[in-house]
Amino acid sequence: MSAVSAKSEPIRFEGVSKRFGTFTALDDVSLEIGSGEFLTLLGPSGSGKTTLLMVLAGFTRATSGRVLVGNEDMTRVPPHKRDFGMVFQNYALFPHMDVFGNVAYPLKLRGVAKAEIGTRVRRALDLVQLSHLADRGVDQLSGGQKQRIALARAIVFEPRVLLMDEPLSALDKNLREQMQIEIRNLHETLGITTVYVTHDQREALTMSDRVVVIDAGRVVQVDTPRAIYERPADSFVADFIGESTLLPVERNGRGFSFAGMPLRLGEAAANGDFLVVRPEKLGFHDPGTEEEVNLFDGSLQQVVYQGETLLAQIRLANGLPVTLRLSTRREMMARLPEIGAPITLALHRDDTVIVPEHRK
Amino acid sequence: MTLALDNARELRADERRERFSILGLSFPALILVTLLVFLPVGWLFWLSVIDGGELSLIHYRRLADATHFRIFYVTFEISILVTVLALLLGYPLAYLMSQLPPRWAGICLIFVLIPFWTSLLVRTYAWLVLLQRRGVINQTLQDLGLIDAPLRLVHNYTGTVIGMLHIMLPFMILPLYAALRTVDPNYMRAASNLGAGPVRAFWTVFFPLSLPGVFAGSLLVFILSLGFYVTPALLGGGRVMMVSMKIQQNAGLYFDWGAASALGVVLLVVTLFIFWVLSRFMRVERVFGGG
Amino acid sequence: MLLRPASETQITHLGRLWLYVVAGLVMMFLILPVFVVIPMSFSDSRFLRFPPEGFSLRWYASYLGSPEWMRATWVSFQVAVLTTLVATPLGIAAAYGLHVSGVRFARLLSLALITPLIIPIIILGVGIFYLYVLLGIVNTIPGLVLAHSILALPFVLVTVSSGLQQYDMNQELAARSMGASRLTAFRTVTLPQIRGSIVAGALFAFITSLDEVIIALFISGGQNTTLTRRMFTGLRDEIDPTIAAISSLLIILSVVLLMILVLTNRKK
Repeated sequence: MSAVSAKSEPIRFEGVSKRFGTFTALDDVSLEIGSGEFLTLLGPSGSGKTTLLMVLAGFTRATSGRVLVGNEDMTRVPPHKRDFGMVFQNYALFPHMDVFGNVAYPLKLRGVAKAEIGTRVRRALDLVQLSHLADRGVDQLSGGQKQRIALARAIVFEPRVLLMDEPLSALDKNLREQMQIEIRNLHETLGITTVYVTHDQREALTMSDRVVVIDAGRVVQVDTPRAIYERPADSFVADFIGESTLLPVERNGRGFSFAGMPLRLGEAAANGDFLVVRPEKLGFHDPGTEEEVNLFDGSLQQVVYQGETLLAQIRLANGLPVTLRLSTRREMMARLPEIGAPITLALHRDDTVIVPEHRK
Repeated sequence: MTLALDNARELRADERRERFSILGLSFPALILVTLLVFLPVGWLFWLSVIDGGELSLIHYRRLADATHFRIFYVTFEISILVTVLALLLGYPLAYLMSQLPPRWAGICLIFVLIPFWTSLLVRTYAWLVLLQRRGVINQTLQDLGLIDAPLRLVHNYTGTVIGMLHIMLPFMILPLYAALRTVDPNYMRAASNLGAGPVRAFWTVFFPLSLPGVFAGSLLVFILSLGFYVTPALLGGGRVMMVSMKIQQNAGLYFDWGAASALGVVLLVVTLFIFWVLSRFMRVERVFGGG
Repeated sequence: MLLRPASETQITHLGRLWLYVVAGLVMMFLILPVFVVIPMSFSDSRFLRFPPEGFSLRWYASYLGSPEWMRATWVSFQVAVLTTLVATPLGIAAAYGLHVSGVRFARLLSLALITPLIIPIIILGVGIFYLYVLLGIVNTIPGLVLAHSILALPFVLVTVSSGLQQYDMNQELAARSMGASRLTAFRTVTLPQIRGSIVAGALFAFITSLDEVIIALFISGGQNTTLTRRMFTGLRDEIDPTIAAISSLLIILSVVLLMILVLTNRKK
């Protein structure tokens, strides 16, 4: 039994569209979120991910479609009757109240008895390890502390669902990574269904059970972080998440070939127009592995040292550039030829992913 | 499919209802302004084009005589003079305030805000006391032996301009100060770094960047001056007749609504035109925030 | 000290001494006329000289002892308080509605609401007088309050709007997500944070009404003559030193209100 118990309910979007005048922000979005799941909406700015969250929260009204939580149709329920906890991008803490006042606010609205407010606020603050700051003014808190208070305030009233709109974007890199893990742990403790919006792909991959990639108001792919990265649904996902070079491939009977060379494909069913080449999936050619890999000949153009790894720019025989990422371990660096010298790269057939072109 | 359509209609109705109820918060204010501003002003338009129950431009034609020409001429002349003087006096102070540390600028601002907050009538009265024949200024000058006979400072054109200048100065300084404050000091550092001396840097960099504020303040002072009544009525001593005074005379003294309306319409059209120009330069609402 | 650099362009304080002198003179020009009235109000002479000859409170006694002046003062304060009570809520509601609605013509509507500041007041005076004659509310308190309210409203609208612009509306969304209705969210979260602008707007409304002359010339009279109207008439006819006493009191009131304004908006 956790300190602050929470319900966990599934969420369902059914054909949700939102138009602002002639602009379509959401185009027929259907999506199911399992109970207790941590789901992230990921997309470039203007993709509609925040609009989708706002429709869920009730602050933006859909043009058509339905939003269900559990079995209840929430589409026309006003935000204050939805019972969803929400964390905002800039925290939206109330500066005219102290930390205790902020966290107690939703409980006061619910008419919770004074003594109980005290214990519940303390429990929520304990969860984010800030119970010693209850009397502080909001202005005296650091960014990370504000973030945690906002989180405590969003869960203290045991909401049905927890929503977060780019909550970490204002924090610096180290703190952001630390908070990612804390939020993840908190989610595991509470088991509350959580919808998280971010434009940071690494954050999405780190935190989520599943990631929804959104572009131009449409859901492009819904999958586990690993599947999103290793098996992108199309050229947009491949390009948006991680680094990759997209090389055009030709259909060759039932298979595919690149620059006239048939490609060995792994277990993943591939279909489409582009070969996705990620720099860290490329390696040197080890003799005897020919059955397992696809080989690419080219010449080394440039090497950029980046600390833990280095990036090598290679021009393939047909003139297309690819990038190779190498660990800076001595034995790996030793295998790099001189600038301008020929080099043969290997890509494991299970990492040979072919994706269709993104439909706009 | 029908279900989705039904839902779309309901959602649209919800959206419209919410929008209307939010926007509706401004309706009481809008109704009040419509009833007490737009309705009466519309009425004046109407009165200005009827004569004896028939549509007629007679009231406007009557404006085209030497007397009215003179009134308009004086009104514009005074307004321009007051605007130019306010700019000449206001710019140095606004400039200095924009350069001072906030604490000192705040103290200077008090000097601008106190007159801004003080009743226009009281300030006009103060000038009457200062400028009259046996007033403070004449008294002092005579005591110092600088003049033999008292100067005629009030109940004339001079008195009107001095009084109006004093009242309009805060309206020039406040928007100017707001504009000058936003000029990034890095521009001046850059100019200096590129080899411009202080005077040259000011005229080639700072001043051009401050022009929007200069326009805003000047246009504001100008339109407010056009409609002045109390100060010229008290300090002009009957020798200065501005448009507003003539309107008051026609309406309050002669009950000649046609003439008053036609003059009012002309004054209003000129004012609104300049206001329209002004609103293209700046968010006019800011000026009246009072800094 | 004078040779220290004073600006980004390294001009010395001495090098722009003239600027300090000019700015100082302009400040004197702004402030002296306001305060010269106060010592003169204590003069015991019928003629207003400076420095005043002899000290007396006779003009204050003459003001406080006159039923006409007292009546006018009472009318003015009544009208100013009622105007504040009408204009402030209307202005807050309009500012909030126009700020939140997000409709494209919101700016147009807010411009419509500030037109009373732009239209020459004499035109409003004539127009409102004409309207009031038809409605039969010339020389009444309600008539004065309504007319002054349209002059005061724009100030409330402008100050509250600028308060709302500096305020993070997401806080209201946060409150609503936690279970507060729009009204509760406004009352418990937004209102306490824009209090300073509301106080400023209300003080502006009060002083606007109290100082208003021109409209009062048309629509106040008889029993309901305002203080400023009586002062204006008094000044046109002859310079009654009683007005120096009244003016001094009005100046002190303005300064006090300005201080309240500065203090309530200081915390931020």
